[in-house]
Amino acid sequence: MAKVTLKGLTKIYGKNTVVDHIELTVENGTLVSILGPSGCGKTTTLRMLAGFEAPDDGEVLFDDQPVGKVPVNKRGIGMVFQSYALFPHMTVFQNVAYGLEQRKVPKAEIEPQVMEALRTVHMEEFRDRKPKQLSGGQQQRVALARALVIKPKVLLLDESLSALDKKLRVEMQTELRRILEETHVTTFFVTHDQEEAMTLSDTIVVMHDGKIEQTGTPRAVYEKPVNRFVADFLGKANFFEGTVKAADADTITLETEDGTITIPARGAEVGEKVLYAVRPEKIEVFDENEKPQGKAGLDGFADRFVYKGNLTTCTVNCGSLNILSEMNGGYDRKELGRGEKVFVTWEPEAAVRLED
Amino acid sequence: MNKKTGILGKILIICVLLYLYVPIVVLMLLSFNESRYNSLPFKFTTHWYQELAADAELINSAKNSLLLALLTGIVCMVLATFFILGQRYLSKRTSGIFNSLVMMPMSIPWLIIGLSILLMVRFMGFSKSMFFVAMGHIVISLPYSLLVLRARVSSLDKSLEEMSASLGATPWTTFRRVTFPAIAPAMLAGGFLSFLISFDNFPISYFLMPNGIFTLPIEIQSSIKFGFTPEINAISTIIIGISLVVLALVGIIMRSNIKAMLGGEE
Repeated sequence: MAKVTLKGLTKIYGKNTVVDHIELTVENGTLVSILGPSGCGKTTTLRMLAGFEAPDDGEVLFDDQPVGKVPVNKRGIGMVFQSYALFPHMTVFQNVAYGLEQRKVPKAEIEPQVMEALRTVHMEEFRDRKPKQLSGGQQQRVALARALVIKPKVLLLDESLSALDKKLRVEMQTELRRILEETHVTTFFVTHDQEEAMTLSDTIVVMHDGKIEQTGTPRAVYEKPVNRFVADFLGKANFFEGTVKAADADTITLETEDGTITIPARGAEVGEKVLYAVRPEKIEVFDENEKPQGKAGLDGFADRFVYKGNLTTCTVNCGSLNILSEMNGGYDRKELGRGEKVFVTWEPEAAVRLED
Repeated sequence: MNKKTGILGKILIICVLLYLYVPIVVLMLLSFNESRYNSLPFKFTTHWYQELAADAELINSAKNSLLLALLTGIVCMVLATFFILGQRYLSKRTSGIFNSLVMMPMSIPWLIIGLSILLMVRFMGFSKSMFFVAMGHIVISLPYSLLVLRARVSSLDKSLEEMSASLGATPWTTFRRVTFPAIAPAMLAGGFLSFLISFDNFPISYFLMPNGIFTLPIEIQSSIKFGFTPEINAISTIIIGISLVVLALVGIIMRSNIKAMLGGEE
């Protein structure tokens, strides 16, 4: 249970700056996801937190104390790897007891603590099994129990759910959230799965090319992405880029590379170069003859119309722009044929202005 | 066409196997044959084994070989373990260079290695001794231990050791409780391989052995010079027997160890 601070944390491999002066403060008991594509430096960041890698610059602080000189085995971290790394020659019980033995916990106290930890993850009846005799999900639980039983200051999860199949993963996400809420341990969760990050975390840190692009709550990061990378990486987005030709209360006219368009948006001055993102689920598609009067939007032709049950997606060709729309449900929607004339629009506040 | 090549292939393999095993089997059979000149008809006897028990020179040289091989096997096992584990802390380049250097004796003829060690020993003013024989054996046997151990260590999940550290274990505890159990069978198998290489070695021993002391291969070689006696058949049969037993033992150890690691019935 610790507050964790990363100060200008940097890691360089040869000519590659893998982690580039990262600044981050995480309050005690928070669950933070470090989210990014592979190679963005998220795992290296985690490994520096753990002490497996020494930073080339900057430092890691637990409760405002630098831990750079503290070796891994004294750092008080709990760790769960993607491969779980259960000791294959030890039973479930021995695996979980391992950390307590290293802490010289008296023998008599080890057993109740191990069993308590196994109970938390619903694995107490498997205490005498070897890891190979467990399913992926069960191994995952044991790995978690092993990390938690030592009451770590900080829990580090490295792609810990990625090896599970979809259904089990969703189950484990809920389970993990419950366990972490019970234990109140500061947790770093490294993942490339944006849905997982959204489900699990209090805070999402989006990383790209060794830098933090944005930090915020899942809602903030999804609804107010700061730049194109974040908007694109978390969910899908339609982008509108160009120079503002005219702006009034609810619409902006943009001079884009492919011509002039007028879209519902706010917050830009004439002459500015701007980039807007609109989430697909904010975009509405109308049949030509149901076109709402007096609303700005784009005319185009329906291209791909896909009914997916819980939602309906439609790609619309508006000149050279392809606009993706996702509509909830869609049970009552009329199927749009390919090439049918349509009109797309959205509420002005749905257009988020990005930095670049 | 396919069937034809299949049959051809089988015949070829059978020929190779016959070529390999028939002499050995014949040798083993002849060790129980009464004729002094390895001639037929076959008449069963254990006479040559009794003769063998009385041959102090042969027994002595066998003891020498056994001790030398044992020493070589153990030293190679320990050295290989240090080498392979230490190598993981070096850069790819450096460890590659070290690697080539240590593996080199595999591709240099033993004759030349033996001769060069002899020259060096002479040059430095020492006389031949068991110490240098053992050194020579270790140099040529080490690559075999390394080969076996490297295969195991490179498939070792490094995250197991990191996990152990993250749980509070010191590097020594991590080695003792995580790394060692994982590589012990390979250490043993590698050590055994080195043992066999040393036990079998003729050229190094031939060049470096002090006068009057023999290893089994040298003893066999020199006694052939005076005529091939069925005693040689008998000792060879015993060696093959021992080798098979040790091999089986190592097999069982490795098997049960893997089984224990995987947890039971697999």
